[in-house]
Amino acid sequence: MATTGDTIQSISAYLGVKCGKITYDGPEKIPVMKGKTGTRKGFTTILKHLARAAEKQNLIGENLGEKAVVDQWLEFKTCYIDRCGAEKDTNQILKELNTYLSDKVYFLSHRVSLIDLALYYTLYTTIKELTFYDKQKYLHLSRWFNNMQQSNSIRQSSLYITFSKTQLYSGSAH
Amino acid sequence: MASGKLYTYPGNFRAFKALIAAEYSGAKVTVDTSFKFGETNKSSDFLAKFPLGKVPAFEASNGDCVFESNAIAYYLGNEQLLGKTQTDSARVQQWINFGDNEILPASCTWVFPCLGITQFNKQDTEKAKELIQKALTVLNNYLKTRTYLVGERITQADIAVACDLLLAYQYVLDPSFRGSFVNVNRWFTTLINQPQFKKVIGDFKLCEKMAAFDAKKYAELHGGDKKKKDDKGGKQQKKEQPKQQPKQAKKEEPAAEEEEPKKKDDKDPWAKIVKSDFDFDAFKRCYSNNDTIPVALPYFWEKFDKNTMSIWRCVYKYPEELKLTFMTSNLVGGMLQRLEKLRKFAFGSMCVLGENNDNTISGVWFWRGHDLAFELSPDWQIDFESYEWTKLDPDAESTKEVVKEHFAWEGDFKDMGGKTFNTGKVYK
Repeated sequence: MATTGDTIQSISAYLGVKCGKITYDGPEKIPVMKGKTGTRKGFTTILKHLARAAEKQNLIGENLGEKAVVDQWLEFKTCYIDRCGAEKDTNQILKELNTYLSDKVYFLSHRVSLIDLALYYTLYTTIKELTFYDKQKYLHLSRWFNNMQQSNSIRQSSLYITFSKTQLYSGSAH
Repeated sequence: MASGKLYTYPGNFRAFKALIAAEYSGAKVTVDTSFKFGETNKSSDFLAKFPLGKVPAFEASNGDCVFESNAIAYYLGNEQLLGKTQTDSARVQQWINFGDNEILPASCTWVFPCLGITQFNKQDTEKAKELIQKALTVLNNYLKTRTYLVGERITQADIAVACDLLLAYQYVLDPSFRGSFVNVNRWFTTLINQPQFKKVIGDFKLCEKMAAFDAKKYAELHGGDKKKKDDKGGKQQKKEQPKQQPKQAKKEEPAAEEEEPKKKDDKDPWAKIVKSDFDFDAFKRCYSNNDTIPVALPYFWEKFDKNTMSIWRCVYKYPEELKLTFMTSNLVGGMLQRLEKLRKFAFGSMCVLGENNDNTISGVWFWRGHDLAFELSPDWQIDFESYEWTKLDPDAESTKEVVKEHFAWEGDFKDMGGKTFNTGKVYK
């Protein structure tokens, strides 16, 4: 799993704004960003600040309902994904995300939002290591990820991850 | 970049294909607001540019004229929409055709009766439902691992197929029917919520409750006001104009709604057809009591009046579904039974040709008038659409042969692929 700092760096590159160096505070390793306009602390706070700085408010949500969904998933990232220790935990997370995406193209509404970006960078290394068998198991998550990586500005310098569009394994895989 | 003027009536899902493509490519398209359906497209000026007189039709600012929605969309599209490689372009084309052939006909058969545009036929509707189910299953499996139909971005394939599904999603695909097609639903809702789609279609509401055949609406549109039907140019045109017409008709005669069904009961469907001197009963007696070839046929050709009558040939459209010959024969029997009143001024001979598991139906009819008699009364319309009807020229030699074969129930039925006569039924 990518470190919180790397995820923030990637998103700021996508947004085209500078974020400087990210340091960590305390035993919980809370990310801190020091900029000219002040210091921001915490993953969600920093991301929202960056989106506003890039004048891409719609990434944060256009109304209260959408904003709540963004908050919910960023919190999910900090509270659950970041604290995954064992493989079992990771699998549980992937399974949940897969279920959520079974009837959706993006996490929020019908467009790319901060959630998609945050989760894409956070999960990149995890998904890269998945076997084809697992990719098929997390079919909906794979479809979402594959759609995300098609954009050069999102994928940036990282490698394409290959997904199979045909079913490779029969039986209980999905 | 292409720019120009699009002719269409509002809410035309075919025009949407082109308009959405323009939204994506940035082509500058204006919809001609002065367009009046049935007037503008019938004007000689319009027909000179678009001989079919159908919409959508597109006139580019450089003078290019393009008709057919998919072609217009192609004209207005960009590389992303049309496919960047030859393979992608082929795939885009594949899905466009899939929409036109697998979805659209069935979807119209199913939805149009609900809007009162066409008459309801239970068999056809059930069949259409099956076809839609099949097409959606194919789409659903395909979209399981894909976000969009071709590549990972929206292409003309998505635009065209989504537009072909608009009517169905709006009127008949209720939550329980569409429930199992999760992937299609995801794909469809994502598309219709894209800003480029929304700009053209507006806010789209998915069907809550499956619409059913609306007899009242149908009567309102078709009953009594045959004149209006003619003005509109018959069936073909109506297909091109699914939504506007019900509204128009409603405005014009809201009071006629309740009286309509009563009137119909005591009206003789034949009343409007020219009288003919041909005595149907006499011919039927002659045919029943004498040998066909030496007596009845010469009698028929002698008395036949080509000014007031017409001869028709029908061939069953779905022979691949016919299994055992006796079942085919029952199918014909059922059809003839349902045609009361037509009897008065019509005669027909239906032949089942072939053998078990390889048979078809072919028939020859004649009746008063020069148009398809079944259209005179809704009571007669249950089966006739399952057949391909062609009017025969009474003076042609080939007609004499076909009539002879069908009335005498013998001959080699050459044009039916060598199938031999099995059983026959006469409508008299």
